[in-house]
Amino acid sequence: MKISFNWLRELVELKPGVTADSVADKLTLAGLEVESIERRGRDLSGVLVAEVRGTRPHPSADKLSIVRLHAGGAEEEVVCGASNVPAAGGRIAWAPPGATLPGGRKLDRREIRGVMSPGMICSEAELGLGEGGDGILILSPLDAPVGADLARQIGLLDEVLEVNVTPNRPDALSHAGIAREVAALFETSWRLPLPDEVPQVPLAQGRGVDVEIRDSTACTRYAARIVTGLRLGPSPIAVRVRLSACGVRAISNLVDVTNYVMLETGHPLHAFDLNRLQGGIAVRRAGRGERMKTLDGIDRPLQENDIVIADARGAIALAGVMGGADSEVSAATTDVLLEAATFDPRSIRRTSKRLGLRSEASHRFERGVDAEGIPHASRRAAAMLARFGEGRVAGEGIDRYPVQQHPRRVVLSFAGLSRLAGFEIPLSQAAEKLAAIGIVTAPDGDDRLAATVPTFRPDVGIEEDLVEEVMRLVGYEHAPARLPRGSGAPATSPEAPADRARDALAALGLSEIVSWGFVPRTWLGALGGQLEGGIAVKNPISADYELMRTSLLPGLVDAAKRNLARSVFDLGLFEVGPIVRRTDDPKEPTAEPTIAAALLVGRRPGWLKPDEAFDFFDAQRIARELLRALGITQLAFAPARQSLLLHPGVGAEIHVRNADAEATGKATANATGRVVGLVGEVHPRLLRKLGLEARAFYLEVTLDAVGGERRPVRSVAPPRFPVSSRDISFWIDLAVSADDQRALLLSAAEPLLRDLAVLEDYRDPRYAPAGKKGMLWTLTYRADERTLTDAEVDAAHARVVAALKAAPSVALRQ
Amino acid sequence: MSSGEKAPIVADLIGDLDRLAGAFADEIGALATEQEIRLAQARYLGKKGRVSELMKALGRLAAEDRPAVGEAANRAKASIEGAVATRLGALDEADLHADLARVVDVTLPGRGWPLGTLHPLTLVRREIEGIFLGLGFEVRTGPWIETEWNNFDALNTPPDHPARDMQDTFFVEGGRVLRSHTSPVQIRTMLSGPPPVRIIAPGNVFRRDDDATHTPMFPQMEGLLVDQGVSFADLKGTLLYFVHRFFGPNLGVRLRPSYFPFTEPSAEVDAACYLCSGSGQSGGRSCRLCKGSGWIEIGGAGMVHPNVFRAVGYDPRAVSGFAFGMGLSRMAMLKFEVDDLRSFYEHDVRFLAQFR
Repeated sequence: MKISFNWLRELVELKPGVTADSVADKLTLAGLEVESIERRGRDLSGVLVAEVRGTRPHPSADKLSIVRLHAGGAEEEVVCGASNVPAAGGRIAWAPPGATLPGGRKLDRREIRGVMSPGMICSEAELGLGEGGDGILILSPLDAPVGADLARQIGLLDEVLEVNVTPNRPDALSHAGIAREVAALFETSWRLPLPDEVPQVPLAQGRGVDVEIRDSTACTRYAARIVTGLRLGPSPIAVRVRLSACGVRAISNLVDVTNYVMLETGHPLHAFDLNRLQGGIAVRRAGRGERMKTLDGIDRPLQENDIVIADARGAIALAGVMGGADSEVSAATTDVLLEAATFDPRSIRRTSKRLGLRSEASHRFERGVDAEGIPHASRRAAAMLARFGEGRVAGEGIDRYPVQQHPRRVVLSFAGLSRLAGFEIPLSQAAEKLAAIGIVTAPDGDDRLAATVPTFRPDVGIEEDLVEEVMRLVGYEHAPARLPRGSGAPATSPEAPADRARDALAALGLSEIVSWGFVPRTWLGALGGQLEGGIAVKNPISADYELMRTSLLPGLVDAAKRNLARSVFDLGLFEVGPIVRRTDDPKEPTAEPTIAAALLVGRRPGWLKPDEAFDFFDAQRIARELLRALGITQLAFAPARQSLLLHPGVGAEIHVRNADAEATGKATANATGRVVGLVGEVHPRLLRKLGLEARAFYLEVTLDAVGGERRPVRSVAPPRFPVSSRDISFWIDLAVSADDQRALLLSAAEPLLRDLAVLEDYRDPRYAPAGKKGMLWTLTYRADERTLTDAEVDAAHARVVAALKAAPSVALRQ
Repeated sequence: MSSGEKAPIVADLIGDLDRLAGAFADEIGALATEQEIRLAQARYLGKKGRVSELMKALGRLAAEDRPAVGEAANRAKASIEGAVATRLGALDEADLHADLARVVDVTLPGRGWPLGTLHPLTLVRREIEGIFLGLGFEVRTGPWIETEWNNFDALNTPPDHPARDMQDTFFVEGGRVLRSHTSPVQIRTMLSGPPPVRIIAPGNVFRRDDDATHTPMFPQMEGLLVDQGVSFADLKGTLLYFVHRFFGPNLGVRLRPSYFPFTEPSAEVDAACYLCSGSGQSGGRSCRLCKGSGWIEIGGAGMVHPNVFRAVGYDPRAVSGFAFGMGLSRMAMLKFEVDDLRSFYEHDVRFLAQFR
């Protein structure tokens, strides 16, 4: 909320040296954060209030005139292009030579079409006062004496505090509310301006309007006052300046008064054209199927929770949200009914949210308007309107208040205060602080205060609230700082596996990225299958954030694309985070497993062989090492020919062998076990859909499937006796995988065979027989308790070779 | 005459032996490999070598002549062996010398894959986790998709409460929300067991904001401590400890009254600006980091509202607690002097490569 410092000074007794900045600092430290201070009118100086003496035409320009004026001194003749120059005796704003206008324009004596003009006569726009319509600013005798410095006189020179009022403080949404706080913080007094003394007339026969509240939960208080015989026109300039400072556009004296009183008291007001009302007024909930045309001209369907003001014909206003077109005031309005009321905050909030109609009024109503303040606001507005519009307040007005609001009684104990604050604040000091913001207390025994919380503080309802009030007024800076006693039991972080994966992938040379949890629908559409069905965000900001991600792949591809666009072509990226998928469990309809995923694009790092592209085995190695870091060594890779994500010939599912194999560390050949991930080349069709124009290799591991805790290492002493190795070379059918060959070699169950590894997979068609590949394995033999003789090794190797030869497609090479 | 005949034989033998040593030295001077030298050595000292050939005459000598010839033979052997050792030593020295002539350009890059990088948001999360782990806090996490009850109601923010506007929330199908803060982890933790509770909860949260200073997803870190007799002073001390560890020793912390539905009293948390040490002035002008205020805003905090305790079945008369929350992207921006929040999410490896 914007607070004019000029206005505030009018309400609070502040010592002359107190600046807007010092007020801002204190408010901020008391919980009403001042986000900025706008200094207005700083570059406006020297503009004076002048009186017109007469006007004559410009000798050589039809549209210009020469205005004779004075500002308390000698008469001057100023050239003016406006058509609304007042007759002799009228007052205007004159910027004489030497004056400066907003934007830094400095006035001078200047010849205009052959006539010397000392400065100029100003329009509202030229004074920095908003649009202000055509023509020059015309001042009324009420505004300022002739010769006065205009900026100072009408409050153009001001500092406007932008106060961030938290939703619990409806009382602070007004200059009066801020004045109360400032007075408390500076230990001084403040006052609420009294209604003007204006002529009052009895209500003419038949002009009375009855008010009936039909739903006292919808409306706890409704005051109506009638003002008649109004002349609509602009408000006094000082009022317009204040509204402008507070960011409110001046419209007419009628509208301006409702805004001004709202900014002063916090009470939104609404004016109905009295002559367009038919019969009495009722405050009620909307009926089923009821419609209303709001003053923006839109015919709106209402809902049963909406609160409406209705006359004999039907709804004439959406209470607290927007007036109706049928009762709207216009330039021809002379008699009005002024409404000051309080409505159910929740209903106002729902209605204004549903219709997208948030206003200064609805903002206050949904936070809570003080029912007890209504009579004052109603009187103040009616009197001000009568004065500005030269009208009369008619009758005493109506005040319906079916459910009396009472101040709340809340007890504050010394023990409660000390316990929460962590230091001692004497109750006497607490009582003083509370009194300063209108919360009266009385001793309630030795160590308790009974506080009476006024209705304008709906946020204060329990002892803790009082503790906060006392603490913020004493100052949080007085609280000591100490570390809490005791300590918690250390526990494993649920993030530990994810962090271990991050460390491993970074150590393997990849860069971590963080991407959004939601993705465009097209990204998941490209993935196809179950992955298409992401959980939908119902109110996305844009199509970029429509579905919760079901895979980390599209995000990584997007990251690669962005880097390619920046001419970075060689990439190793990874991300670790949740994906969101549906479950069959109605209680927990979604699950968020954590995935570690990586993408390789381009070439391997290294200048020695600069053109080596990444291939499957780079990704496979990363997957293997990642799983090793997660405590899994017994892996198997099974071709994933049906995968929608991976190239049918260059992709694998990652299987973890069963727990026994894991525990014993024994090499086994069967590739069964659970699937924990994928690795391979991204399906070229998918890349086309996602728009990545480079080959890419992807791997992902579901961390939850891998299991939480890494098993502790069970170490084995290194062998005491040397190994002997023998190589074996053979042709075999292309379709027989390395894992199958390993199984063949192990089928001899040779106890001395301790290790076996592929040295070569040779497929050059110029040398290899058709449909065959040449394999070279190295086999390692060892006994635990002695050094093997060559003869023993040869015998063992012969048994293994014999087993291999049993396979029909094998042909040994020499 | 026998002695007259013998004498020249003895003298000749000794002379021949002495000449052999000289001849060997000449011979191996031209040899460049150890193998050739060893072969040459064998030709002189081997069983059928030239020294042995000469020594066959020894048996025909008179007993009194033998010592002198034997001595000459030993001298020749020693000389030859010495020459071998010297020559081999010289060759080895030459090899070494040649080896030492190798030069590489040490300024060329090394081979293999460089280390990768962790994301700055990961680094800052871990640093902050480490600080609170040291105070006995444990890490808890929760899901992105939450119930409205966990995200709002249990946190004293009933439906239609204006405070719901403080966090513009994403809704997903099934009446759930994308959590708008990490505070639901408080609720989950307290529902899962009795006090005391001492947790931090890092994680991504979601709000409908997307501009230069807001991203629709951003990481938060929540802290919650519930025990008997926990006070505002404990909160202040904990935050002060954090500021000292994270931003630097001797920096102050400032709590400003504020409002969150789930805490009472509530506070905004400022740390003294580490760039200007809280003076607001840096290099004679207004500090660019804190804009001259001397303080930087780091998060929100407060004492747990009794209604939150009631929602999870804790007795607000028996326990009290504090909670705090901070934005990790802001912490990372401060820590690493990142000017543009968007940098964290643009995946530019040239940016990410800095965080080794």
